[in-house]
Amino acid sequence: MKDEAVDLAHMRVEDLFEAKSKRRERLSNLPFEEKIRIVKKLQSVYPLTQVGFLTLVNDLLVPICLDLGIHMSRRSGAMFPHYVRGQWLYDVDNRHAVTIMRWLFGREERVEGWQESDFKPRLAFGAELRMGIDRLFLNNEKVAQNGFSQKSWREKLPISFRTFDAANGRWIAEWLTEPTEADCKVHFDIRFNRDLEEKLEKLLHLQVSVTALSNDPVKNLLLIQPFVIELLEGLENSNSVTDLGKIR
Amino acid sequence: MERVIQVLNRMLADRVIENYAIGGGIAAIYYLEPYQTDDIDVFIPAVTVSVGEVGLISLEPIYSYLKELGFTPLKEGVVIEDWLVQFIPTFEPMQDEAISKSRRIKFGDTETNIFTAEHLAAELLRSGRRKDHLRVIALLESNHVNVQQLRSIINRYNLTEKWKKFARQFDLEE
Repeated sequence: MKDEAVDLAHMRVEDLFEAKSKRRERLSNLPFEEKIRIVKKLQSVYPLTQVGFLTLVNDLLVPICLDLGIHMSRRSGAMFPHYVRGQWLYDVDNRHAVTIMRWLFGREERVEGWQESDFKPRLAFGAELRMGIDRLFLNNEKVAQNGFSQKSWREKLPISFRTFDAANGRWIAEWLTEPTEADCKVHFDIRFNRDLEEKLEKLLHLQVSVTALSNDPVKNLLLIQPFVIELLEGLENSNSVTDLGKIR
Repeated sequence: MERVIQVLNRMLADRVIENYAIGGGIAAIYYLEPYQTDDIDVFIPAVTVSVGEVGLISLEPIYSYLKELGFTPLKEGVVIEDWLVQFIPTFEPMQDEAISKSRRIKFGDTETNIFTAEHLAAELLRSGRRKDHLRVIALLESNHVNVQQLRSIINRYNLTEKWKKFARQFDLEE
């Protein structure tokens, strides 16, 4: 763009058309990558539809809630009289941020869906939602969770969008497939993603003896932690099959 | 967007799709100035997604494959990273040609296929919405379109009437 002073008094309609045409030409000649960067900026002004964003939030919250054995619903004014203390709720505002709250607990977590001009990568957004939810758990609740109720395999290893800080960076976990049980072993297939620009991913197949699994998810996470870190800090394109059948 | 292209190329390598080319708004932006668009239209040969003798179209194998990779369906597409990607099985022979004769371009370090300006203009003409017509005009004005090649596509794929109507509307040579 030129820095010449604009003389509004002598500007003609033709000048405006010419300027517009030049601008179009200049933009058309930009490298494709640069054009797409502009599109992303425009998208942040006119972002993905609210309905689309809500669907995405829902898709991210579902696996987390399944893992944690909680039910979360979208806050509705009409339902206020029916909510019970501690109930998990979330809301989405028109700036594409998610607020997660516990009813009448006086605490909430706000997670932005956008960063600068771009939409947050799905996994990073999922990880932030997961951390927000984790922060809203109460200590005594964790004790309650350690009760004797029969938990699903997912609840015993709540991995969805959980972050792992390894020496080579932060990794985000999610289920590759649903955990299954066969021959007295539970099979966990977990995918880890690092640095969303690099798109580096690693897969971990864990076979854990049913008896080796605690009803306490924290203990199970501690059990697998060394194997996870070993995998994440290992060779760039390695995957791992680990048998924890003899433990315990 | 490079991640999307990498996923598309992986689908190709894994034979989930037989071929593909990017059309629609993103292809238009390749030739024109950038404007706001939310999705990436990926045209795929219908033969890839036909099921059974009657040729019913099913995108289920594509969606299942992408779900395995962690990409969830949303609205009428699949969200891959921060893009809504729509897979459009071809339903006109002209679209099949648009894929087979697509341009090989690079985005970042990754190669992809994109409609030629002529096939894009023909597809927009066929589609025929007002905004599509405006893009055809912009493409013609941009000098990216070889008019002879465009006319050849129009004649071969029975788009002559649409072209005449369009040319009359925008005061162009029929």
